[in-house]
Amino acid sequence: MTDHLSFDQLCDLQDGALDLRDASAARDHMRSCAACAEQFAELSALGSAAAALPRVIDPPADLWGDIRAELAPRQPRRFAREYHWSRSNLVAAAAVIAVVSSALTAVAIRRVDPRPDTVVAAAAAAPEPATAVAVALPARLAMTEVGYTKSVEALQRTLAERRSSLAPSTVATVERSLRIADSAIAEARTALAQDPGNKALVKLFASNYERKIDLLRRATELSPRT
Amino acid sequence: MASALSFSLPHAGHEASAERALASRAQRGEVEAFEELYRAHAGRVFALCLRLTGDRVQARELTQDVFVKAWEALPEFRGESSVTTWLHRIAVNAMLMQRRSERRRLARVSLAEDDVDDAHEVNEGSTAPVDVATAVDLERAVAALPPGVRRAFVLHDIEGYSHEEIARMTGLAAGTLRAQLHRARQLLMRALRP
Repeated sequence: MTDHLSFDQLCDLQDGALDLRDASAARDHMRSCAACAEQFAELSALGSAAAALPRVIDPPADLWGDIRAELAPRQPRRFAREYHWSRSNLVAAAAVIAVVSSALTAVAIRRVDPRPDTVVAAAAAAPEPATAVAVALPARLAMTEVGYTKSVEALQRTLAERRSSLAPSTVATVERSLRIADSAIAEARTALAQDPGNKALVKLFASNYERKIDLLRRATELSPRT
Repeated sequence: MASALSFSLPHAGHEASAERALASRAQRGEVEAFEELYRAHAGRVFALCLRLTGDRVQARELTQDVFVKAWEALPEFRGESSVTTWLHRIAVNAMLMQRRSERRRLARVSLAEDDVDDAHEVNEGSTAPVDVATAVDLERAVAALPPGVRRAFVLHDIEGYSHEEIARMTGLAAGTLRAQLHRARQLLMRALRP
């Protein structure tokens, strides 16, 4: 090998891509060619430096919140849960949704609006089911809501099929719990329509839907005649 | 070099089974489990996205895209590769999709990957020279590479994937990949010379 090694040959040598004979010839050449040896050393140093770069770089701290707001609810799977929920669990869960949601909505609004009570009062005065409230949301949120709505509808169909197997008092409890959940969603939705850029409200809106879906899922898992 | 390393199985058995359990819970719709997966992998995914895009804002968007796509694809995740490898594959695919969309948006029709890279390289002389003085400048030099060759360098020399693994992720022919990798090294050596 009389000429200098090509850059491709040096790279292949470094990557172990040359066969034994060619690799041996390349190394022999470098023993007598300072230029090739120097270039190979430089290439090796670059490789070492690249391999030593940190593999982990912390992402922005608020990134998870944005991701969380975009996660569509997963369709429930049969047999996914093995435990059963009682009526009292459902009532308690719904109450928690209502109280926590209202409090969080108020806090989120206060961060940006000096007149929060007006908004909260308006939302509370119209506790319609979220899907029935014709308040325009930003396109991205509207898409997210479509995903949630599909899950809600699927679960509601399942629940309707099981309705006759549940005790009337349980059905009433479930319906009351769902109304509370809907009210929480509507409240967050109304606030969001007024302040679509409020990330805390986006998260709250999403989590209210998640909770409603969870509530529905639990309701579909209630034992017959509960 | 790095190609000899394999990141397909980077975890010890216990860690891998704990991760599979988390993935399984997330597959059932448990967002909390998915958040744990995010916390465990976000740093590596963000590092990869940052190096693939060379831009912090784009890296954030890409990382977000990766995890949203991962959530959607979780029901199909069978645990045949590690979560890291799976997420990296999603990242590379998402980045390729973004680049294709961008190309369509710019109405640059029928340009193959190499042509696009060449187009970037043609303009190379007009860009500001990379300021190289410390090891940190390697990151800056990598960020200044044309996208195709940057991807080859990041996946091979930094992340340690083999040619075959990268070919599977990107759909690139082995020859193209090899050419891009060599070109990346050549450009970096030139940029990093004092």
